[in-house]
Amino acid sequence: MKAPPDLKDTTDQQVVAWALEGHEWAYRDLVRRYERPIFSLIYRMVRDRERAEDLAQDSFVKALNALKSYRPQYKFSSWIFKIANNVSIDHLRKKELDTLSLDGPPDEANLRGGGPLQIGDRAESPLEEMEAREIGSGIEQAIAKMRPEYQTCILLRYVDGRPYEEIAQIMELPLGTIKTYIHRARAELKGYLSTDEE
Amino acid sequence: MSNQDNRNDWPEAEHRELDPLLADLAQLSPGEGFANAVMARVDIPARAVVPRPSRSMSTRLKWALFGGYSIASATSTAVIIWLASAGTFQIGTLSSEALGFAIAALQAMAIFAQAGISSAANALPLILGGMAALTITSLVSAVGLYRIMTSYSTGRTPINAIR
Repeated sequence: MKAPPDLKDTTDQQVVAWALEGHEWAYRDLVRRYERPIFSLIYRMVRDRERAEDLAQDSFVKALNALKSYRPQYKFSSWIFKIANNVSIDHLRKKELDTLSLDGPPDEANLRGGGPLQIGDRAESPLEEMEAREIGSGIEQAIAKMRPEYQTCILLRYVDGRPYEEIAQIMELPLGTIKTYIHRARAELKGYLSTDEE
Repeated sequence: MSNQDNRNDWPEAEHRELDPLLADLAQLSPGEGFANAVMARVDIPARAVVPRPSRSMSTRLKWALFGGYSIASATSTAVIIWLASAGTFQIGTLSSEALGFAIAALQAMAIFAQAGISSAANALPLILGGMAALTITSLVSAVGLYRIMTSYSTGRTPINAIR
């Protein structure tokens, strides 16, 4: 069996190639590389830690079981973020439909799983408590109020530092649309924050 | 007014007070055991195992193949010579493309055999000598061909090094 090489300076494409050869350590390395950014994106969108872990797991399983369909001329990060974003949006849409069918028109709190306070409901470890406080901050709550498309743009840009071009690839939207979304999202954020201050 | 798209600068130029708040947004970690939970649901493709004979076995097989090939080619050539010397086979009707330069050598041997040997029995020493010479020649050429064929690397090319 081939021993795992030093993967620190290895490209995602090379790790994917090893994974496709059947090396478990290559799969684990892909999970290790992207578990935090993918989880962060999903957690901030669904605002429920347990649900976010389930959806992040689903995203990884989808991606890793479909590695053969990944085309290495594109960035692996764009590919896996696209899958995670689609999983999150599908979940939010499904949740919206469920809410509509059971309770009539949803309000903001329904759409967000009961509002931002739900995040800390099952915080157990000190780390989770700290995260719950973190994600309950003003800017986080302001992000939670935005449309999912704006959230994705803002989180990919400012949490993960993705360039506009990659965000456009992930969201399958024109570059100009992404720039407009980020501009509007920032304006909305400012509006929410100034309202909170008053 | 310029129609140039300068939206690259828009977010950074406006609402500057947001920047420190956005810069504070940190990546969050999933719970312990996340990677194991993912791996439990991933179908890792079975690694293709190519059965390879042991080194001693492959060496024996190699020499057996070389020997067999050499003896077979020498025998067939010797039979052609014998047929030619007995006058029952017209070498000239064979395609020169099929037998290549060997035809010329065979023709010379056949002429010699027809001139100096009157019967098939008399041709036996010539046939045996020719077989031995041809066996050695075939063996040397087969080994040479094998070395040329195995001198090229068949290493895999990485899918793509572009990140």
